[in-house]
Amino acid sequence: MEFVISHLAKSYGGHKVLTDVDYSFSEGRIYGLLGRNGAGKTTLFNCLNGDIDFDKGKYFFREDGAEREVESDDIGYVLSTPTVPGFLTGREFLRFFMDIHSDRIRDKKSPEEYLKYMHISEDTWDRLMKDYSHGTKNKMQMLINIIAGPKLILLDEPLTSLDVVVAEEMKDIFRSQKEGRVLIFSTHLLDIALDLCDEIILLNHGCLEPVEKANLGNEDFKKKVIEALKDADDT
Amino acid sequence: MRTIPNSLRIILSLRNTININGILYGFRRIPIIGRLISDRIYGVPVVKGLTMIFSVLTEIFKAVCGKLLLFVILFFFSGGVCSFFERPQKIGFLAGFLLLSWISAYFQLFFYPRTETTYAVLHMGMDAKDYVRALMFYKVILVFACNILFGVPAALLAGVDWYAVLLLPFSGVGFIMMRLGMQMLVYKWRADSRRKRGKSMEKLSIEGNVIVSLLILFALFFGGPFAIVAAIAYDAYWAVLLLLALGVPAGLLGLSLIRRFPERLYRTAIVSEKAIRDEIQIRNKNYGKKKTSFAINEAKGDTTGAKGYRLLDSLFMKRHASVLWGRTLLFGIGTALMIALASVYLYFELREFAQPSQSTLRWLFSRHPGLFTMLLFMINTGDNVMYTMYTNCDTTLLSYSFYRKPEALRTMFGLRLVDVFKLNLPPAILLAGFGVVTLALTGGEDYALQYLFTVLEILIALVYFSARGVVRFYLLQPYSGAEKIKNLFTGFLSFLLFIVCTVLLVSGISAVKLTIAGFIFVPVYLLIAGKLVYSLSPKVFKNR
Repeated sequence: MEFVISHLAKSYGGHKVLTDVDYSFSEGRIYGLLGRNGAGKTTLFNCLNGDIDFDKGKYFFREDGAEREVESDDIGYVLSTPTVPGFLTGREFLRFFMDIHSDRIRDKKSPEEYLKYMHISEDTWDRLMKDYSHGTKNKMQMLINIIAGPKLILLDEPLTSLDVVVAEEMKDIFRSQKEGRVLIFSTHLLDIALDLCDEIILLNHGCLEPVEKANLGNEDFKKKVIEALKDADDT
Repeated sequence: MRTIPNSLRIILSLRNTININGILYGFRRIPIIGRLISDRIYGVPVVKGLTMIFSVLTEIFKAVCGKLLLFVILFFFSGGVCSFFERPQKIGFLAGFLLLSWISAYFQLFFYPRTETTYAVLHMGMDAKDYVRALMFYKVILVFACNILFGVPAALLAGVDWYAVLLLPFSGVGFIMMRLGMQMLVYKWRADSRRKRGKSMEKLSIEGNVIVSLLILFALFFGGPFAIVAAIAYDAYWAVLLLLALGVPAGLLGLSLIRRFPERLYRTAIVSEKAIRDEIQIRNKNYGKKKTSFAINEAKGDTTGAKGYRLLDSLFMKRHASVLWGRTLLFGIGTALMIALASVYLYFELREFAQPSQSTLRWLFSRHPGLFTMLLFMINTGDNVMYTMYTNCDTTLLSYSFYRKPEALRTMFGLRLVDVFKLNLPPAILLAGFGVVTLALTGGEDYALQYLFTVLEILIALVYFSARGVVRFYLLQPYSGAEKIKNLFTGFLSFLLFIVCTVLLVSGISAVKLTIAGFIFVPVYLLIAGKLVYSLSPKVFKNR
């Protein structure tokens, strides 16, 4: 299975944010979408998630050579600022979500098992989510997004402002979730992208550009990426 | 330094441009059609021309029709009260005019930082003195002209003596200038005092102290009507005339005070007002956010065994009970107070009239049952409920794709429709109860079914008004974060509905016909609304 974005463009008034996004993402991989602040990473995710309309282009799944339209259930979107309904407890939110997705959830577990899997401590399960810490909210959001098994998970800087322990837990969860899916992880931090992602793509001049991954971890490679980002910013 | 007419031309032109852009923005927010309108519409000359005509007509309508309506109401109201006290109408008319002039003078906010004020004075560098004086000139001309056009004929019809009629245009203007002059005088004193003490003049309001302003408003709105009734009851025509005549020297004094207001303080006053309003706006915004967050209580989870969206809705209602039902309680108390006052009136009517069927309340309820529809229109905005639903629930859940599915939105729409109906029900029950009891006490009806139709009319109107709020919420999604987006299109729809309710009220359509019409219209409306929500809301019900 592949997730394909074909010639997607988006502008706000006269300002072109995405000029020609054209890329294929393969199943079972984590893609690091790298770009400086304001490069259009969130705009791209919002277009893919159907939050905003785009001017032209399309995106679809390619399965056994055939194109398939992306449905809303195919996408999980984890925002940098976690959004969970504050008036529900973690257990209630999970129960509600499992109720409405009962036909889609394969390998169904109990809410408690899911909460444990996400390392959410037991004493918070029955507390209102408005009182959750940033990290716990983030885990809840992630849990909701993976539980129904979407084919594509968009992660918009999800590790920003998480403490080291939670960030490491989340990274492990991302790695464990990549099987059978495409994970696109946006960040402006090169080190995180290098640590977590199988492939790195730059959002440069409103287009996606693959970065040679053979030299992952190499200092020269880092410099190359930084140069590319600088170039994107200068233009 | 610009002349007054030139400044006025710039101000009106700015106001017009803001109105035009507001109207075009309103068009772009119309579901489906709005999406087809390009953002380049703001530059299309034909569209701009047509919108400008509409905008100018609206300005004229607001300026002229408001005054006309005021004089019509004053004429009939003074006639009614004076005939009750068996006094000549001219006393009531003049006393009413005096009160309205004072109220109108009090609400002339020449330093209020409107959008055009910000552009003209703060961005374009227009002289603040020119700006305020041009606004004052515009208002004075408008009040003077309207008083001549509508006030003079109405006064003559009410039997006011010719010499008193001549006073009307001048007094109306005089009180406005007096109020502004006094404002400026007090502001100058306070500014000088601050400067002497070396204190900053930032946030020194020309509108004065809030408590004093509230006391004056309280006196005008509550004491004023009593003073009018007392003047009529005691036949104080000459006293009223004297007060009216005082408007002329008061105006001259005001003009002299305005001329002596230091030029440097004009801009200071506007900037201070802007700083104060900005701070209030930020405080309200933060308060709104906090209020909705604190509104969540720790109520126990669902015990009914509800599942899926029912569970979500049930928990939402349960955990927001105080903020949602609190509003209902407030409306309930308001309705109960209104009913208590009407009951006292009914008691006196029943004592006064030999035939209870002569009661005015009975006449209103039986001959103009559209009154109930109008009252429900006024109390069932549903804004508070929708705001809480959006800020505390939808704004988070809309980031999940499952919540934006047509089935999900339609299910939540249905559940919320029932919720809003329940929340609106208590005041409506009070209203229906009072209506039926009044009809029964004042002689019953020709047939008992009339009572039933009065109740049914209220209930069906309630279903419509409850649904209207929810439909508007799902199709126009009027919020951005914790803020409500101003939308002229929504305002226009509400205005249309107000017109329909007024027609129903004035036309004297019977409760039976109104109920039958309601039973035909409301189900069709609900059906269409449900279909529209299903097909359109996935596209338009989004976080902005």
